[in-house]
Amino acid sequence: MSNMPKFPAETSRSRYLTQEQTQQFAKELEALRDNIMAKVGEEDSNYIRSVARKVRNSEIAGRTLLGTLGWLPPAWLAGVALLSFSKIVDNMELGHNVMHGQFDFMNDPNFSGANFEWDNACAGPLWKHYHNYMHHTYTNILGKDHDVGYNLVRMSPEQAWGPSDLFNLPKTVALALLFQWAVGYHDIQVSVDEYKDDPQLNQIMKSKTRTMLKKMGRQVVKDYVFFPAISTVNFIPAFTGNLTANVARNVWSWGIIFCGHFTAEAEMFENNIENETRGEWYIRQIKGSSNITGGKFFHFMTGNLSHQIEHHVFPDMSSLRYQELAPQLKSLCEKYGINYNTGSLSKQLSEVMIRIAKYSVPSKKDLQEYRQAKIEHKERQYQIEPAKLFIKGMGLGLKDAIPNFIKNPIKFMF
Amino acid sequence: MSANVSDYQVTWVKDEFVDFLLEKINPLLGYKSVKAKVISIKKLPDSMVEVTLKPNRNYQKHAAGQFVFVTIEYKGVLHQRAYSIVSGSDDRYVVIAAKEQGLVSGYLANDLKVGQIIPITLPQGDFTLSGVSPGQPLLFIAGGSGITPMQGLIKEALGKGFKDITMLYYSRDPAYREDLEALAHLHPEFKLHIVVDSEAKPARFNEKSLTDIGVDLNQVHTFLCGAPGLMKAVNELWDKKGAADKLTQERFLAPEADENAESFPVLFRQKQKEFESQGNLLASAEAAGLKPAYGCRMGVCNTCVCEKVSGKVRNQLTGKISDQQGEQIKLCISEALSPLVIDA
Repeated sequence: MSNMPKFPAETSRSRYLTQEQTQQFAKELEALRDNIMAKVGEEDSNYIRSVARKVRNSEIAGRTLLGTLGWLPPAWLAGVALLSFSKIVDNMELGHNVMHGQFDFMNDPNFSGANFEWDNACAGPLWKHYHNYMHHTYTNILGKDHDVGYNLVRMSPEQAWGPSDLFNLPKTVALALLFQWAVGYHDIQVSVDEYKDDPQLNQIMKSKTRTMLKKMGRQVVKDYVFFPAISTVNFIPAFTGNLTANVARNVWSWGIIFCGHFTAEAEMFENNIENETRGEWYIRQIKGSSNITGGKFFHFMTGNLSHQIEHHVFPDMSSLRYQELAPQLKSLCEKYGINYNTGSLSKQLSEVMIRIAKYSVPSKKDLQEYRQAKIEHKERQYQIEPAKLFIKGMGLGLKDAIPNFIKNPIKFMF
Repeated sequence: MSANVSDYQVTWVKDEFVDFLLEKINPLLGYKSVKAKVISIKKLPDSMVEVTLKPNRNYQKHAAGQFVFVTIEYKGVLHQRAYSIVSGSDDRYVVIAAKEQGLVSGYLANDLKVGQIIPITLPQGDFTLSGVSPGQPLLFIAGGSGITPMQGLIKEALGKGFKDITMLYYSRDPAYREDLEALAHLHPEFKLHIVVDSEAKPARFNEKSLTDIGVDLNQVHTFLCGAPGLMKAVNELWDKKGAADKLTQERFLAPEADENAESFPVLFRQKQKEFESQGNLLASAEAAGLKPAYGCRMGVCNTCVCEKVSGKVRNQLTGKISDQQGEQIKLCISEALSPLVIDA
């Protein structure tokens, strides 16, 4: 009997595998991995070095344009394009992959996952905890993987519905625009939950919050004080250019990341993985992830997160190799009847948006459960209507209006 | 778990970014990085190769007898190895010599190009004359490529006015023979004994080797660098004679890992805690009361990655052996195959 969490088993498009089949699948999958990992070497290290050069050269060119000719609209546009390109590639193809340890084999401290920092409001150590550990280990497990809607957007019928979910779509827009700040803050809310029973909770949260503030402060000073200031007469174009590049990177990375796990067929799982085997873990990763089709340049700009399935199965494989692994993994999935979820960016992204819209509206069952909860628990958060919440937030009762996921970490901040 | 964030320091500008800019002006420039340009490469006897390096301004003058770490890139992977400096402290170049064996030395002998720029480190090591009083007679014992730190030391000793210097040099095909003989010719206080042996008839060092050249080991301060057999023989004799405090030695070969034994001492360098590791490294560390940062415990999340300063480990997932110094390892899937030093 498999321990595979079979959370909405009836809707899964994948065949149910026995323990033996799962084991066999894992064996074949690892053979694919070994075959590809044996080739990882000079080509990969040359590749990631060239990616790092692209990031730097485009940043230097972009900032120089903004700082010297920023008042000229074509120069401003070109500067913003270059800086956006630099930030996107730095975060996605370079930072994300290096911090997974994909290039640790190079033995080069500049490309070591343990030391790397990126041009993003999220501090490396916080990112590695919540992303590399929590998200990659507990992928799409409700209550464990906080990337499911970032505790802000309702992504699944299994999450309890509340009135604030009516604002799923506007909340999503805000999340996309401010994505790096959400990412930077995310480990704080994840950790408050993870360490709630730890005697050192206060200490851990204090240290994490300080780390968060340090890194966020650096980003603000760099993009909105230092570079505008040295641009002198171009202060305003440099400021707006940096802001635009940050937003462009935010929206792009939000889109790619949400397509990775929240398309229509991407499955959610219940928190029931105590005895999960390695093979079951692989299958959960595949079922919970979705790919995006596209050309070489598109894959590059997504940091190869367009190969989300391959990345989730082998997060420390050099990203250069995912394109090679993809067809092999796809045919292996077909052989075992596991759904390999892929599609164009427009298909995947519209599925995500439909999903967000769909779960903002309660089903009959959701409403019943909501009323039931309201009656049974009489919890304040259920009584407060969004409009009242807003008014209270304006000063009538700040304490009640701030959602718990923000209130809790603030308690530990200082 | 919070250990890795508690002392988080903001990096305003990455050193490597400054280097990236400086290198556009001159590839030898570096903000803090120590680099050197290859000036010449010369083949020596005994399948050795001598490389002359011009270091950048971040290099600090070496003392004779010290070593530098040289980093080379081979098949996309950086490898580091220590080499004794042949040149004396008055030489602005760093001259190193390597026997063509092992990955890095093989690269120096076959792949390195004149004009290439390679990362090196500041000079390190206490295989130097400091702490030896000038009146003291000196004995230098070298075996094979162990000759490399000796020339600089001898020249410096002669310059500092040491009056009684003896060298015992074992080699199948002595490198630097002419230089040493010229030095002995010029300075009568320097007595040179070169023992040329062969694979069929290897020379053995023993007490008689010293009486033959008229040296009383209790009267001299000795500098030793050579193959493990010679090092062992000398150490045993000096221990026996109670002269171990008058022996300065340089070792470059790590102890061999005994793959049958199960338990090895592991040192966590930053925490300065030592424990016995049996099987899984992370579990052993925790059993010993240590709390290294960890995450998934399955080789996925990269939270527990540490630099392995020295020693040999096996990746329990892939069976891959890591025996190069400075490699990144994941504690949660690694097993010690030798004593380890870990930067944790």
